[in-house]
Amino acid sequence: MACNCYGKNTEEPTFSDRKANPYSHLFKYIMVGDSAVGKSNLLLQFVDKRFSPNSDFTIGVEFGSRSINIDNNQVKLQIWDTAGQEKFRSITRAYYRGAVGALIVYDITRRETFEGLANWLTDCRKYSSTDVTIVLVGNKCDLEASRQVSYAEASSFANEHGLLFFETSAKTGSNVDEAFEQTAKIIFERTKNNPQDNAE
Amino acid sequence: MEDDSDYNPRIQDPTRLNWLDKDNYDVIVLGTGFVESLIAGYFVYLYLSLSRAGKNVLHLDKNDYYGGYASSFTLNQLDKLLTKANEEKKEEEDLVATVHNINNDTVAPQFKNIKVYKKEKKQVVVVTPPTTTTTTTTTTQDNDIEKKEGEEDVKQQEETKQEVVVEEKPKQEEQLEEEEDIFKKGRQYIIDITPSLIYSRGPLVSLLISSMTSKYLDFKCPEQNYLFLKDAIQKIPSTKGSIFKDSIFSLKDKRSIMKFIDSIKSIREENEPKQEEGESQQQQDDESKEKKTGGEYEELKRKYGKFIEYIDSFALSQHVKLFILYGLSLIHQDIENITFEQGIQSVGLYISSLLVYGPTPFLVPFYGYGEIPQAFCRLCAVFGGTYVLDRSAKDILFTEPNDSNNQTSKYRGITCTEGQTITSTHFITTPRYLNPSSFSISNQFITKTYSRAICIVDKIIEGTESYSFLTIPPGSIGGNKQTINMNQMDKLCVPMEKTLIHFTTLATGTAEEDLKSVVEHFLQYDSTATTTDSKDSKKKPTILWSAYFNIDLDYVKESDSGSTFDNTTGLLPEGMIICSDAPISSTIDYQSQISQAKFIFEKICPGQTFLERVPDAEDIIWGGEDTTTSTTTTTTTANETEPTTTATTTNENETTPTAATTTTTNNENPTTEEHQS
Repeated sequence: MACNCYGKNTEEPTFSDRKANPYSHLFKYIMVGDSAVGKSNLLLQFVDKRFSPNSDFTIGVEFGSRSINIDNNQVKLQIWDTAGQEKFRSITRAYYRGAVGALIVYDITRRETFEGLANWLTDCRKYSSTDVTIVLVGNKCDLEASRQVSYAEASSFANEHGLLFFETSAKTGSNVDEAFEQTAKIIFERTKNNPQDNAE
Repeated sequence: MEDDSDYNPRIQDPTRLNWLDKDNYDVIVLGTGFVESLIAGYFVYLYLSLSRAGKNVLHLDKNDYYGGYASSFTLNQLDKLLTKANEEKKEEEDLVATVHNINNDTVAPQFKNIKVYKKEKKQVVVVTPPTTTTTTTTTTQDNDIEKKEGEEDVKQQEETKQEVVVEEKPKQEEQLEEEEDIFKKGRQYIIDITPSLIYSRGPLVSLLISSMTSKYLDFKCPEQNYLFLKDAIQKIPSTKGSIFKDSIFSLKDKRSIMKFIDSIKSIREENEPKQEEGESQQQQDDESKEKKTGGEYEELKRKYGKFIEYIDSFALSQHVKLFILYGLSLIHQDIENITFEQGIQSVGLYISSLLVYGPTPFLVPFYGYGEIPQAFCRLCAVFGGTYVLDRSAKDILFTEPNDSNNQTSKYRGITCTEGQTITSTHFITTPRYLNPSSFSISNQFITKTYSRAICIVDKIIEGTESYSFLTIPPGSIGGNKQTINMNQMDKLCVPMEKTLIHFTTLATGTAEEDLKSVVEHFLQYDSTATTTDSKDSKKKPTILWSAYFNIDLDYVKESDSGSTFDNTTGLLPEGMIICSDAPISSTIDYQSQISQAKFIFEKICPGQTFLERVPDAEDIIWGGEDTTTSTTTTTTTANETEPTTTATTTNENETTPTAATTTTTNNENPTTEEHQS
């Protein structure tokens, strides 16, 4: 079984710290997509600004959280990881419940992970709340040389299905914050206009 | 169970690509029902407490959804399942036992005596059609709805579609729309196959909190608990004050109720002082049982073998007796015969659970009871368990019994339906997966048949709170032989302006025979047909969809020791353990399932404490270099850590054990130093 220690931990917001920085909104995000497309690394990059090249399968990762600022509101993003259950397409339906944002991730260097998107999209729409904001994320865009899915193709897929689209690199951090933050802005706008839909 | 799409998860070469990377596990669990999931969830403890290497769990299920009989379905899924079961019934009866010792044919929930009703669409007769259109291609709202329904292959609806005449009178349109959109919003229904009762201070909630599994679940406290008494729905009061406000009992009755409750309280306080803490209740129960030597309790226990005898000693009126038995005990199976101990426990649990999270002593999962096994499965997965749905074993492999060696055969592994052979030390499954001709376990299990009715109606029953329970004692309506539980759900698990009503009882006949008179006492099938007694029909909710069915659940036969049997009985190969997959407990709350999981856990991990806390994922951080942002990766290491009690208290003090993580945050329990090496 893979090692699940990324290394030393140093930073941790304490209980009092959190009291000092309360958040006004909490958004639950989920990430789905085939195995080894870099979901956990996207999470790690977003919340900890780190990259762990040798992580094998996801073990022990529940979710990560990070607070961001939108229009002077502290918004806490709580991003859930799959716990490895995506490997045999056995994610629990409970995982999708209550999510207001969903990242569907594929690997731009492996075409088959792009082919699998439709199924993930179906599941997201089926099990999440009706107005979940879905983002298509093509990860590993630092590996331009081995690219198998063009930006244009993925972009048109996203357009067709009404998804936001980003190409990211969990390794370099490129576009990672943008993918999460821009989604949050859209969700924030929506909840502002429609308070009843607010994330619980 | 797929909803509307028919995606095929296995497009690739089916022979090898889907094989698992590993072919050796410590434990293979087949079936994701309640007990199986609970056990799998708790094997994370094994995984954590022993060295990490090689300790692992493989969890399979033949179905492509979690939970087995503990599942919740959408309306469309359930409707399909029931329809399919009706069609395939005859074929299944003809099935010849296969040579494999695993039987995958009856693993999905089996429904019997099914009767599904769908409200027919109204055919509006139009006398003069100046402003009507008879084609279905017009773009009125109504037609849009019809089309979508047709796509969702609701055949019946499709057939009638052609006949519908759309009249452009607003009133008629409204009516049509309301009647038709049942399946269009079918996905918004969450329908439990086997709804149950979870007490706020019961063993399951304690377990969810101590294992931190509560973070995967949201709960709601139902608004009111009712009892059918004196031919009417009566509120079960939740406070002392409301007992005295209530008008159905005489003052004398009220005093005797209070006297009885006080006696229960004092018995409990005497014997189970730690109960209120709500944690690791089971352990304490065991301990307190031992402590209960001598004293008033023992004396009472000797004096009153049965709970009912104790109640009788209070010389209560018949109504008060029913109130205590059916309103407060809520063990509805064979209630006349429960022991004094069981009775005290269940009434005590009822009282201590009151006003913990709301007016009723119960909690209900926000997204259906089917979420509970899923939560335990996620717990297992987070700690390294491997999950494969839609895959089962074909055969169980074991060594032949050796004459010279006590004749016990030994379990070795399984052959998957995909062909791969996987070995493990232990194998856990339910009777349903075993071919009865290969293993003779039938005398270890008893099957209980339940009658169920599920009704979707247009409004809540008059005079009730929107989310409520009702208990109907035997002999109340149409001579019902068993206690009937009614579970009304509104604004939860249903789309707007619809209500879901569950009826559950132990079967004495077919579901329809058992429940029809009760269903029709509260609900009606067609509001327009009964214009004669219009006063009555206006009050009763109208049924838009309903299903009657019977289901069989396997229970482990009660025994004095643990409630599970294993190879010690000599019937199964060593290493194989069979557990019950019944999600409805035969005792209060989920006590019997938890005991079973505990028994199995201790069997496999001798010396480990079942209820010991799983490390709190929130507390354990595996991080890296210094960072400056205020962030957390909530992760868990395999290090055995003991979260401080404060951590749990914080959690428990949350209003509900819901996705507590939303507010409970990083507790001050840094385990980080342990990782710095």
